[in-house]
Amino acid sequence: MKQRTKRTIAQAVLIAAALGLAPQAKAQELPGEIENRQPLNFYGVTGMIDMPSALSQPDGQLSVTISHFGGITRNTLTFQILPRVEGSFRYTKFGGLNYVGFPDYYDRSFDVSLRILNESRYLPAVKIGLQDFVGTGLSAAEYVVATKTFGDRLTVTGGLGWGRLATDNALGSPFGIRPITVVGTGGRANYNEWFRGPVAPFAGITYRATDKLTLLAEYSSDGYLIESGRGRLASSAILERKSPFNFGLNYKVNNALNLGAYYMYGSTIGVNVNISINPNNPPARGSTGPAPQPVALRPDRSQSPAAWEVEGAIGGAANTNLVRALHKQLEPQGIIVDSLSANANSVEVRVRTGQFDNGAQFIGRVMRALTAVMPASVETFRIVPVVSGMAASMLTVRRSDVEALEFSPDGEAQLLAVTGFGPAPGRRGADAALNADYFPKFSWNLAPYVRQSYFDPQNPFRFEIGARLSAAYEPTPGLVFSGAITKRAYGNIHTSTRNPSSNLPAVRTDAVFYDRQGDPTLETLTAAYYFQPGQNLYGRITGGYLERMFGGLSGEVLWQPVNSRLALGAELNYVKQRAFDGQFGFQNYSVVTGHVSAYYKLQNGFHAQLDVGRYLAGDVGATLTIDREFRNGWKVGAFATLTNVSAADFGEGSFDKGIRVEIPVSWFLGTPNTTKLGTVLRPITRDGGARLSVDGRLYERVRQYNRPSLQDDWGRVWQ
Amino acid sequence: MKPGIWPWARATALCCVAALAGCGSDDQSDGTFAIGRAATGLIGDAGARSGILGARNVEASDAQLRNFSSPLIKVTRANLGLGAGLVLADSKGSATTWRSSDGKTVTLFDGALIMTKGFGNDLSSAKVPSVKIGTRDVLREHYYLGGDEIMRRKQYFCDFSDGGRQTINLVGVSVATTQIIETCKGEADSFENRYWFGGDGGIVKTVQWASPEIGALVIELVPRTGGGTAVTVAPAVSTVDGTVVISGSLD
Repeated sequence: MKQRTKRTIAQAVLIAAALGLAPQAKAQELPGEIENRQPLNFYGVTGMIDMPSALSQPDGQLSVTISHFGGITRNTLTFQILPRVEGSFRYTKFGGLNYVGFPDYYDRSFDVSLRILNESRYLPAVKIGLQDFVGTGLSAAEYVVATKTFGDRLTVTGGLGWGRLATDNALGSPFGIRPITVVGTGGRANYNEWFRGPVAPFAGITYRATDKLTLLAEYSSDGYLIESGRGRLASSAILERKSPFNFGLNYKVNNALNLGAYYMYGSTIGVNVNISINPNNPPARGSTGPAPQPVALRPDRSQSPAAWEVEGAIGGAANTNLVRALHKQLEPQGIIVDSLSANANSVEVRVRTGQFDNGAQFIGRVMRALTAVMPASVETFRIVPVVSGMAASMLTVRRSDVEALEFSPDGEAQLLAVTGFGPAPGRRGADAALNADYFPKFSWNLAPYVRQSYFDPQNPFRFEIGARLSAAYEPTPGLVFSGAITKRAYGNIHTSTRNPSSNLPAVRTDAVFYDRQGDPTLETLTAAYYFQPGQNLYGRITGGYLERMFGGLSGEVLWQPVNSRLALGAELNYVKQRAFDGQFGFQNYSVVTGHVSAYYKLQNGFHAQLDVGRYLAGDVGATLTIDREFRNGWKVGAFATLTNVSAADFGEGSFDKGIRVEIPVSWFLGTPNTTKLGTVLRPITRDGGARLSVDGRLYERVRQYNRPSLQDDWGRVWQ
Repeated sequence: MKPGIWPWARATALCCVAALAGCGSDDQSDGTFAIGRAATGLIGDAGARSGILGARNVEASDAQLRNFSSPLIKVTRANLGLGAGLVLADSKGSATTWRSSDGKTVTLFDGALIMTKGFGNDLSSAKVPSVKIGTRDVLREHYYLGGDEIMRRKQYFCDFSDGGRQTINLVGVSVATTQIIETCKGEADSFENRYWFGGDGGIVKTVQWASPEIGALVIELVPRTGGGTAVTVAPAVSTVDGTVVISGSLD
């Protein structure tokens, strides 16, 4: 019986998952959806005050919620992964709890919920949710909840909770006894507990009194046993729970900021702050940078035959002049011409940019410049975007089409239809003129840097700011010598007194020693060579001080056809651990590490990457990374690594996992910019499943100019 | 100095250096600070009434605009009341593109707005009907790039009606015109465009909808003043179907 129940639940979850992944029609325009989005509760998930509802945030919505009541502070990052799926990562402080040996107890937890039924005229929306399902289990709960909206102002919610959500006024245990939660190292899905043990009802109501103000009331089924000192294990009471009822109000300051104040559990005031952003709703849509130069038309052939004459304008030495003219057009826009080779009918130009994060916009600018520079007889434009000296693809377009479509309604789609995508020839044409104005190239940069460190129990948020001086020398396309030095100005990362212990080689837990001893530090000092061993093949060899903790030799090959969503790669490194002082010395530990990788860009905006191989500590295993990628460059994803290191040897967390967010600066500015803000949040960093952090990995570089990526960018080709 | 202050002083000093610096041989620097700079830029420029067309406000008087040496249009964002002078950047038959000093452009097709660039939330492209009194239920299509980078079409059905004779103040010059009003209804929104035709049949002024965020643009052809002589409004070229070219040759 017990077995059967388990399977049924598993099946239900699977079916529900299938439902959640099914695409659905967009019911409402996004700005309106964001305007009217539902409040987030104290757990940072869609709901009332402390209880969840069956409603969701707009697709892609990313929110940070900070809430505080009693001695409890919850910081939650919530992402609407799919229209029906919401996921959260939470860091909770139970201040003064005196629980299992910690005066203040810190807890990291993950939630996921799935709307299994959309609201219809008569039926409510129904959602099934797991709370704290891979953490230490202190907040573990499961729920099934239904919400019905009445008009656009009133919602009524009722639900059933298990686990923590059944610690008050429980009805009984329909699916058997719940095993006692072992507050252990965490990290494992506690699926044997799901929907087991007592079940209790909860309910709530929200009313939007005005467009800004929402009134909320709920009946909570959370007994707060541990927090009120009534748990199985000894703890101090940090919350007095006198009543199951909570009341309060939520005020929308603007679309990005909500504030809430509540009277909680008959004894205390709770507050919550919610900051929210939607990747599909940038401050300004499209580019706000300077508009492109107009397409230049050729003179009529019958009226100006001289302009169409080929002699003297094309070939050999003329290429040098054309490269110079094109450079003059493009360089002010942030585009560098690597080389150009032309004949009477066609031109192949190799270009790169440090400015445009949108590949199509970059290509479009080159197209326009070619119309201004090339002699009239040149009809075929072959544009080869180059990254690190590697030709990533070749776009072929007829000049007549560029001329004809500049002002066409829906000209972007029309141009896409007549643009050819193919692999670039591995070598430049024999008579290609190199851009002598640009190579050899020396560049340098002095800029501030910021580093953060999260979840140290002594101080959960540490940071450091300082200056980074970096320089690069590129004698010829593809060969790069570069390095960077940092000097701390202020920070408290290095003041951590934690002394990590590990059953594995301390390949990442040693970071604390680099923080303490390495200032100033030589971050990197490398020589890198990028090359193309064959069609659709790309290669990289990097040697030197590869990252703060390791130096050595790194080699990589990548197979990536221009028109393919699939790419395969392999990387092999021999590295030695660097000295703690961040200078030139090495320690004894060395390792051969490397992976074979498969990358796949799914049709629905998701991207999957699987790496299998040997990690820094010598452990063998695989990493799966799933990202949701937005066309404007936002990425929100999660990864997990399982290796042959046992949970016990790994230590707290049991295995390496985390979430990552990447935001393009251009999204905020509106102007083209290749800088991205990114952060990787690991609940805990241990030595198992750790990868070398080498700069210049091929895949992200090359794929930005393959067909699937350029098509995603194509809306800006005329911008 | 108290020992505790030194790190702060050092941090502040470095921050200042960093804010000033963030420098190098390329114009790329740390993104966080790029955003910071942009934000400070916005605050700093607010007093200077920048960011109209995104551009600096027209500081020139009407008379100075009229005396400008090459063709000019004055474009004002109706919802902000701020304007700028745009010079002719490109002319291809019916299509003319006008550029502001900070690189924003508008493209007109026989006087009808078909494109804006560099404003943000731009009108990417458009299929526009001819401006003719009495035309009813004609299709107008606007293309907009969404925040999700997907191009979407908005369709409108438009009626053209007679707005009567009007004497308008055109960049400081009184001009007799006839007005045509275009009323457009779409699925979610609706708007009204206006076109003022000068005595010779050319559009001298027009108010046209660009996008919900940009709003309507007031576009005025700046009349050219010939050294102290009478004002001549640019002769607009009539095309076969009765619409006009706004730019033409102004000399």
